[in-house]
Amino acid sequence: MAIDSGGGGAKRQRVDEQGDRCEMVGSDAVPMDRISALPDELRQRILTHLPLKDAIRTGALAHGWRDLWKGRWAHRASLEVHLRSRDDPRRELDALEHEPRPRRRLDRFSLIVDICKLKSSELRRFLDYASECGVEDLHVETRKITAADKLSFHLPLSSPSLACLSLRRISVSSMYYKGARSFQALQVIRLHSVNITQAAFRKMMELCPSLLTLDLRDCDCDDCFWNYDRCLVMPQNLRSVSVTECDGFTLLNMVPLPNLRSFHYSGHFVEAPFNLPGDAVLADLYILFADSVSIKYDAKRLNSSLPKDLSGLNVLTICSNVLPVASFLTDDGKSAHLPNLNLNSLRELQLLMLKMDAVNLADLYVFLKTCQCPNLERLFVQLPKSSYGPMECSTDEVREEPPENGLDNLVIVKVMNFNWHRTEVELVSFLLRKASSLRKLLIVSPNIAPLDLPGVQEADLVLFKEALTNGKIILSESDDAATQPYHFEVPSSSCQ
Amino acid sequence: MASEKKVVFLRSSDGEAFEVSEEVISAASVTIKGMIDEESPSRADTAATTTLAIPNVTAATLSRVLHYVNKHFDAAAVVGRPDDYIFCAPGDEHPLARFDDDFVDVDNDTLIDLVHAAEYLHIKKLFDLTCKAVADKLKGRTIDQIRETFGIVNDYTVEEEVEVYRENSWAF
Repeated sequence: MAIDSGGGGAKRQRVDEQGDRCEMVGSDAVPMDRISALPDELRQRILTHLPLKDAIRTGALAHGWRDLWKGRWAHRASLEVHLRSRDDPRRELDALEHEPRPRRRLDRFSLIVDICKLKSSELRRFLDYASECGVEDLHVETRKITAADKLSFHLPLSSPSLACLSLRRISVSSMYYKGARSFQALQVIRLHSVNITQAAFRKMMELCPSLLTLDLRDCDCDDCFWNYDRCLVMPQNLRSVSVTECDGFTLLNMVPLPNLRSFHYSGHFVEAPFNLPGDAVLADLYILFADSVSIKYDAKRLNSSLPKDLSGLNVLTICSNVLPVASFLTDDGKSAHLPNLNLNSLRELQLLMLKMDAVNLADLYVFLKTCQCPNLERLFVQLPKSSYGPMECSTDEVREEPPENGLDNLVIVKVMNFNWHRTEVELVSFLLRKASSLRKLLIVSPNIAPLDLPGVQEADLVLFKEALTNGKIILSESDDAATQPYHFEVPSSSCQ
Repeated sequence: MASEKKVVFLRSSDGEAFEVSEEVISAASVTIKGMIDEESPSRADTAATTTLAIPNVTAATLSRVLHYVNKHFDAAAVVGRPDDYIFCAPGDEHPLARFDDDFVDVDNDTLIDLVHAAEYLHIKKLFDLTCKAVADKLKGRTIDQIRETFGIVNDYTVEEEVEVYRENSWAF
């Protein structure tokens, strides 16, 4: 016995020595904290006690945590069922339903329907199975119109863990199961190419009191947000709403959402397509209009449908059709100090230039002069993809003086689809002149050799070439994936 | 009867010995039960007590672990189910739920020591309890709060960080 414990002691000493060596080797590196130093397996066991959302978030702590959460269950916790042939539904259902109970835990369940022979009752059995597995991220999608026609999605009867629901090309039923309990954990709903009636939307909002994010894309919405009889009760914590290319709205009424932090709108501009709560403190805003705000009345309407104070805004994306608003609002000289033109906290601005004629650059200059954004650090400019030849571009002069200052904190600029047009070169040389802290100007262009186009100012081109030589401008044909705007389109195949 | 009163000594990595009932520790720790079983043929004929070296666990942690083990075993005995060695998770309607809550209400280093010890000693319920307690410190917190709580250094570049956020943006 004494020998045994002596052996243990000797072993311990070796372990200690090894430990010391490790410390010496690692002394140059950042010392690892104790929780990150736990073996992967132990940390994964810890992560099994977290809801999926919290587990995913640990991936952002540091490198050592990046994909750890993905392997936290011993079994496969992400399941995709893709129904391609007529026989698939029954075979898949049999296999799933024969799994032993209690069911395995599922982080994610994705059902993709390619065939038109799936019955509604079978769809329901798939959803019931996912629900029994405590699914947290549920995705249902049809790929053929014939399949979409026949099916409609019902929220499962009960799914207490469901945190993220994404539906693509499937109708949402306005019929709900009797006794359907509310989905307390459901925080994110993404609907893509979905038809949803007012009644179905209202019921959905009622059943999801914890909803934080609502994302509607290419949906036919039957005026969901219209609240004429005040029956629509929106989840009070909803903080992010995105409506992209949807039909069926007369007005997106966001006023009942005082906690709104993020709003995206992309679509037609008909008078004022949305109405945001006056006292909302937005952190990011995205507005893309298919048609230009071209009369003063519209500009005022748009201005009054924004929150009163935008001084907390960090990220803004707007398109060239929105830019004229600034000039309409300031042409009487009185509105220059409108509080919602104060963009004091703005760190990132993305400009989606649908056109880049002289008038658009003038609009941009007015916008920069009117909206004070002294803390702007990152600027992204998306120029129009040039479908017209370089010779056809306008050589009009820009009838507006560029702003003198206000870009002192600008560090990074990225310009996409640069095509050497006069206004484009002028924009770049303006930034080179006025952005005193500029470190990097990334330009993505189909022509990396400078083109000599008519109308381009010699002085601008000289400045451009100088910056190219000294490395401030980095010109490339392909996009640099490392520097992307905050409002970057990601493929929305899942709950992304 | 005599065998029920047998004790073993556990010697921590820093050399301190702790006395514990063999029955209690065998029921609690798969690892120590294995050690005792290995020893038993050689000591069956002697009355000498056994001392087992626990090289991975310090005295401070070991004494906490034994406190937990004794408490739970005693409670199981009181309920009259000495063989049914029940531990329970916090929040259960169990007399020890409160004890468990207090037990893991300790600083991070102590808690992580306990996770290590529970894993090494193979005390499943203590392992679950401590893992859950660590998880609770991660739950519902912002990334920055978690980094601060545990002193985790963010070694991502800005671009990498954005990429991680984007991969599962719904969770952030």
